[in-house]
Amino acid sequence: MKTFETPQRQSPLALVMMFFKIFRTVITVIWPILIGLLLGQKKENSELKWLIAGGAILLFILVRTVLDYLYFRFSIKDGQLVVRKGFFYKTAITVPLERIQAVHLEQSFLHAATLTHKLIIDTAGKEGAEVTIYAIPSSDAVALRTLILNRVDEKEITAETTPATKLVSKLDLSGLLKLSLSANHIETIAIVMAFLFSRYEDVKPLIKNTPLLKNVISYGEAVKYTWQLITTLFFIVTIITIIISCIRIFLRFYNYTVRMDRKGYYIRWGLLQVRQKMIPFKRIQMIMWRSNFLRRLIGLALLNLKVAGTDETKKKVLIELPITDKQQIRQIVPVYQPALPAETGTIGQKIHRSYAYRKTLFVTLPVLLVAAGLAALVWQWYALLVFIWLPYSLGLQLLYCHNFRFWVTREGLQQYKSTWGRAEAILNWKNIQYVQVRQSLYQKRKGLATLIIHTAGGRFELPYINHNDSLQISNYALYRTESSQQKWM
Amino acid sequence: MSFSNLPIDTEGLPEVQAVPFKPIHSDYLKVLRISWFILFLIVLGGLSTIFILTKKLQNPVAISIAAGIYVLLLLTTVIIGTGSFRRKQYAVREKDILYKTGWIFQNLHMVPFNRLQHCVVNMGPIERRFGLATLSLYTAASEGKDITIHGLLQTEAEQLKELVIQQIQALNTDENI
Repeated sequence: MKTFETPQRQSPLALVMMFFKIFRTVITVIWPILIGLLLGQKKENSELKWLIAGGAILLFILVRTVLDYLYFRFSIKDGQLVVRKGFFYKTAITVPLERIQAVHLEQSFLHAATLTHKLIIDTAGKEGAEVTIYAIPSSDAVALRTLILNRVDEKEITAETTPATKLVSKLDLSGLLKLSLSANHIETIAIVMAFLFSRYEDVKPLIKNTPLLKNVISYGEAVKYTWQLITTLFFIVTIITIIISCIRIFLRFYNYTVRMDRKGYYIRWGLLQVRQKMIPFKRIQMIMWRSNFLRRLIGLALLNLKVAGTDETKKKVLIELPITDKQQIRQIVPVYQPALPAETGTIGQKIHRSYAYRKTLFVTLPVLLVAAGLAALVWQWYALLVFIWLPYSLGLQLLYCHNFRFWVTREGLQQYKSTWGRAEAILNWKNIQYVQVRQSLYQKRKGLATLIIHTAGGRFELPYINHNDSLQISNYALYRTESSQQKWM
Repeated sequence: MSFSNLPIDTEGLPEVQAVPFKPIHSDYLKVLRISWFILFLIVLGGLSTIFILTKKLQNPVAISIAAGIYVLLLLTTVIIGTGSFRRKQYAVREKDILYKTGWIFQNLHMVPFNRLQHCVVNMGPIERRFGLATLSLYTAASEGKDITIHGLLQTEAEQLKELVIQQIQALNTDENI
């Protein structure tokens, strides 16, 4: 098998990929300037100026691409992945193979046509230094992945054989449709609105100068808003939102297949671009699964593997598995924890109901006060209607406290949260990084505390539990962490 | 709510609540006061410049509002900072470090040695004048702050750092055997 000891370049296809990446970066930065120039241009010599400016930008991107390509070399030497890149600003990345968390393979149409793969290597650490090889021959990609992963697991696996993968779940068309229709459409509309508003100032001059858009805006300003019109508009927006949600879900979960072998999960998905991810079991720090109200009704959930070194903002490495059957959770969880603490016969503990009152007082109320203040500018006294939300929110928080359960067993912790939807999480003691007990002055007076258990994949929080209980769980957590040399990763 | 669902005898475990904590050095309050003084002097300088250069702001209402906010921020910083200083305590056990901090939100951090990645001793110019140092402990936790113990004597901070490094090295040696 190829050893990759001599530094090598990427496949020439990488030139194309890198060109588009640099092109996109440049355009993202300069597009408002381009629009400004386009609209504010004077007639004389404008074509020549555009040709020169466009040519200069294109030349810059081309030179940058070729230099980036020529000066990018990778190799594996002395158990380390070494990447040297950059012409003006030289960078040398050296990553011990043990530190590599996962190797992802991706294949677009262009890759498939040239028998190549894109390879992304995730490394440990908060900064999440990531190495991307835009294109290498498919055989090399597989060989490199095998080489890295075998080295990562060298200490634990004695005889390496071809992994016998077992199918864990496969999302068929009906599952995909269910997942699309039950998506959080409010979230989708919020994303679309946020995008439109963020770009509105940029495209404003374009609207003013385009007759058709100008007409639409002036029509919108002149039209009388009757209830019928508002209802029709609402339906149109709803339908568009559902379509956008469906497209988002289809792009994200099309052909979603999860397989597993002795080392980890192999996830494969993609509509336009086939992606593959390998998640070694030992990198999993915490497992969560959640359903919104609709998904809860039709038995759907999204299972989230919290992997070391990834944080909430890095969506790329956030591993979400769609679950269409509860049995799938029972298949996935045992590799992390033999039994679910909630199913070991122990009684679930509750949190204190004052959590609901405090959250309403310090989170909901200030938000409503600001909202009412803003609404008062338009609606005057009707703005007080905003406070109808207050009893609803309090009711929801009380329901949250009533339903919240957590279990503490020899294996670890589990929590169950639910209002309209529901969310569960399990944490193994071995994955604890440090423990924190937090008390506000109010909590101190009431003998309560919030227990926060920090892991490399996120935190596990038990709010408003008895202070003595929080200390006892901490004592046990420290005992479990300190009395064994079991590795957390 | 009584907590009794652990399958082992929790009473036999070493208890965090029984550990005697040691307060940080009293000179650290002086360090804090000097830092606040410098910070608020800079803010005052900035505000004064804005008010001198902007004619529109030169009226009693704007000046009173700015002065009010300034004094409020100053008092809040001093009161909360002093309260928080009095709560800062630490304890070193065989296998972990415990650190209490915060006044309005009181925190107790418990960091096992076998989860520490590395540690750093920092000495700022004001801390140095008083012979103090700060010890920062880094774990692989992806959220939350790393634990920083202020107001340690320089020798103590160095000793703690050595202890932590010895523990990390000992664990690494165990793993390699």
